[in-house]
Amino acid sequence: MKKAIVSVFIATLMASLFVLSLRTGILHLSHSVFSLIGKHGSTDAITVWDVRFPRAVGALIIGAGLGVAGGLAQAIFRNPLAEPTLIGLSSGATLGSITVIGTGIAAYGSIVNALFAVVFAMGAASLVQLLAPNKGNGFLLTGLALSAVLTAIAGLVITISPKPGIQSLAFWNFGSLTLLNNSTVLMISPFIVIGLILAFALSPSLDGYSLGETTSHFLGINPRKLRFISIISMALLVGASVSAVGAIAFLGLLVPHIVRLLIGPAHRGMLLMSALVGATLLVLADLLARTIAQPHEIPLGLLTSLLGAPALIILLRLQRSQWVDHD
Amino acid sequence: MIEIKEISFSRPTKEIFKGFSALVPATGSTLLTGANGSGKTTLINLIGGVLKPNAGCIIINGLDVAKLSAKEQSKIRSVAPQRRIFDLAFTVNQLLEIVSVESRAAHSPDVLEALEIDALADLKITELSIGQQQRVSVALALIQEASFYLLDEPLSAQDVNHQDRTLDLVTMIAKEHGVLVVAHNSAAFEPRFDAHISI
Amino acid sequence: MKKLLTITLLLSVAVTGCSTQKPAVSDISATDIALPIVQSVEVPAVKRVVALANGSAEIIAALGFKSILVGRDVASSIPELKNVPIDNPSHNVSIEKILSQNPDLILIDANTSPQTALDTLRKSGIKLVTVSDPFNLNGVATKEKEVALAIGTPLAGLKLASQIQSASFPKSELKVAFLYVRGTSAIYLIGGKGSGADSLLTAIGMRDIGAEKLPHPFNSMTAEELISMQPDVLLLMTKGLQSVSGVDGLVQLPGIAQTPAGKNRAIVTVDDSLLLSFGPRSVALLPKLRAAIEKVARKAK
Repeated sequence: MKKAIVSVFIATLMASLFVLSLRTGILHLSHSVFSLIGKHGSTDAITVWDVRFPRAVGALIIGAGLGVAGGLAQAIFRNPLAEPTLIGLSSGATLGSITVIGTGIAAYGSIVNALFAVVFAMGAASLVQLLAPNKGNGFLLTGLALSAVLTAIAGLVITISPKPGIQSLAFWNFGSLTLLNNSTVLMISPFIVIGLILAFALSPSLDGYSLGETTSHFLGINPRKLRFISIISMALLVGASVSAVGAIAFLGLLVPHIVRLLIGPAHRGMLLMSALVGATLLVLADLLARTIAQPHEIPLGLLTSLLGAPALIILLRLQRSQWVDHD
Repeated sequence: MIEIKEISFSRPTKEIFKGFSALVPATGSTLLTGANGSGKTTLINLIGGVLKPNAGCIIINGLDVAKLSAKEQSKIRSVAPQRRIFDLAFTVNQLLEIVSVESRAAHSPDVLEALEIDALADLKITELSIGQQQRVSVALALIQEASFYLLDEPLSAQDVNHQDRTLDLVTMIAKEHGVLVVAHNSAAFEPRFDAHISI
Repeated sequence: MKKLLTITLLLSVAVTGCSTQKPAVSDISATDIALPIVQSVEVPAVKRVVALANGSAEIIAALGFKSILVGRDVASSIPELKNVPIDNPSHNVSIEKILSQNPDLILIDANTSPQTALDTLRKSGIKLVTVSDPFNLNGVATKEKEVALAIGTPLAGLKLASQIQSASFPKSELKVAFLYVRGTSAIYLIGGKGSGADSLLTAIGMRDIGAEKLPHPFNSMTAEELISMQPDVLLLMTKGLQSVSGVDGLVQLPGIAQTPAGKNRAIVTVDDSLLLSFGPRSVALLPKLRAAIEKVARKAK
């Protein structure tokens, strides 16, 4: 069973990178990571459990969420270039977070922060829905335009009201796992878990949905309802992520293409695998971001773009048979 | 049976149906023919619930289509539209899995055999010829358990051999279901059908 | 091979030659100022200090206890601290770096970020002490005393702070305007009340004409403003003057040439990292600044 073999391989890779992430950093551990399980207090223990662990776990959860959100976006818009950022979700979430932190309503890392990010993300997507023309690529193009506007507004808010904790524009636009601690990871997890559950629940209908609007109807699928619930799922996944680590470019776009190349487009397996691949890639990216130029941390989005863009180009050439282009 | 009761339907540019009525019996095969643009596909879409008539109603097995959800409709009728989007490289088997095992009709194995689907099972839908894609599309509709099957131009890209096999399959299924088939070459096919609607 | 060498040599001479600006009329560079180090018999209560607060590493060095520094902030860039590692590259605290240095005290101020990193460091049991981040000379004395107290050498702190408090200069009638310019980003500002330069100029007995007339710390530089102020001397940062192509470029900016300072080319520049650093070196800067201003003003006469 090809799917099983690939899953096991990727899961193993993910686990290895996770452990590697716990062991690697500026501080050299004098004990092995496994011997530190259950320990507190010592510098080694604090480094592993309070600094590296939340980053690694956060990377897994957020990576899974973004991978699935990307797969969902491409399915729901029937477009291989679709990404949750394109419909205003990331910029909406950023604006929500910045608003809540800048006005002092809640602090970074709080559950209210994540909630506002999710709500604003939904708001942005709804606005796109409202403004977009009905046909074809109108939705994505409107989303692109709205994203630009929201990002600009967010930039203005940051510039005008520099409250400590509001972070820089670079943080929100490029993303970084630096600020993650165990508390923040705990706060965003419920949103991401619910988002994932929703996405997996929708996955059986996505195959039929891909065959077209009328076919969807004929197969008993309500395409509008499917799109609505998908957007809720994406808002949860992307919103919670952005509230904690900013917008990470490319991951949502790249992961589904990798997965389709590995196991084909059938959505039940494809979304599950997207979670695995997304988690693996983000742990890897974060590990590289904080080790390549020690002690400087490369903004995550720069790394994902730098590595992700060429990877996507290569994939698209290999993948010509996975998504048909109509001339 | 499917009762089409005095429906009217217009597009912005022209009126397609006005006070049109027709009947598709609960068992037996019905051929639907008409000139290009006369509204054959529109009628399929109206019965299929994608379009709503401006006046009149369509009743399937005593239920008004306009009052049923998409899911409820899919349980009583199965449609093979003229065109489906085959952008993603599903294998034929993966596509057929869209129809779950529980909702498959008893005659499914006959469908797969008649349309010679097994030979295409592991091939990617995106790599098949138009004719092969059409057979898969028809198979997808016919393996679903439903009272009525609506097939929009299922023979247009088939060679004579496959047209023959498809029509035999329709006859077989029509013994216990209602089957409505849209086709062009009415002269050749008419004798193979129990009834004929011309619009 | 020889030709290549010659060309390379000529090119490098041309390049370096081109980048050397005409010397400003009077320039005070960082190397002109020595770090004043006090002598004391106290022994610090802590042995490994990470000084993240702006300029706090410099203060500890001035107190004479550079040896207890294991990490410094990115802004404390004096040569004496060259060998102390930077613990907050790009102004972001590097948790693991600090933990690996095993400090027993971390000095922070209101600007040290991110908070989550500080919380984690606190959690690990290391003592964190917050000191002030002043933008005037009086505040420097206070901060020096705060830092000294934090490391357990209050007497040394008093000694260092007294240097500022004892600085005194006779009043002068000269009008000086502080200009903050960055030609490359089209930023042209006049220092007003609270720019920091006003604190220095007042301390040396000069009139900061910008502070007298303008309400905000930094105000748009307009020709009208400059002409109405009629400054005798202009004070700039060294790189700032370079960014507008030196004195020749400066006098071409609107309004400059219509001021006494512009007509007489009475310009004083101070190293960027020194002028508004508000630390121990500010004390040594004061007499040099006074002397430089008087010199260029005299030449004009």
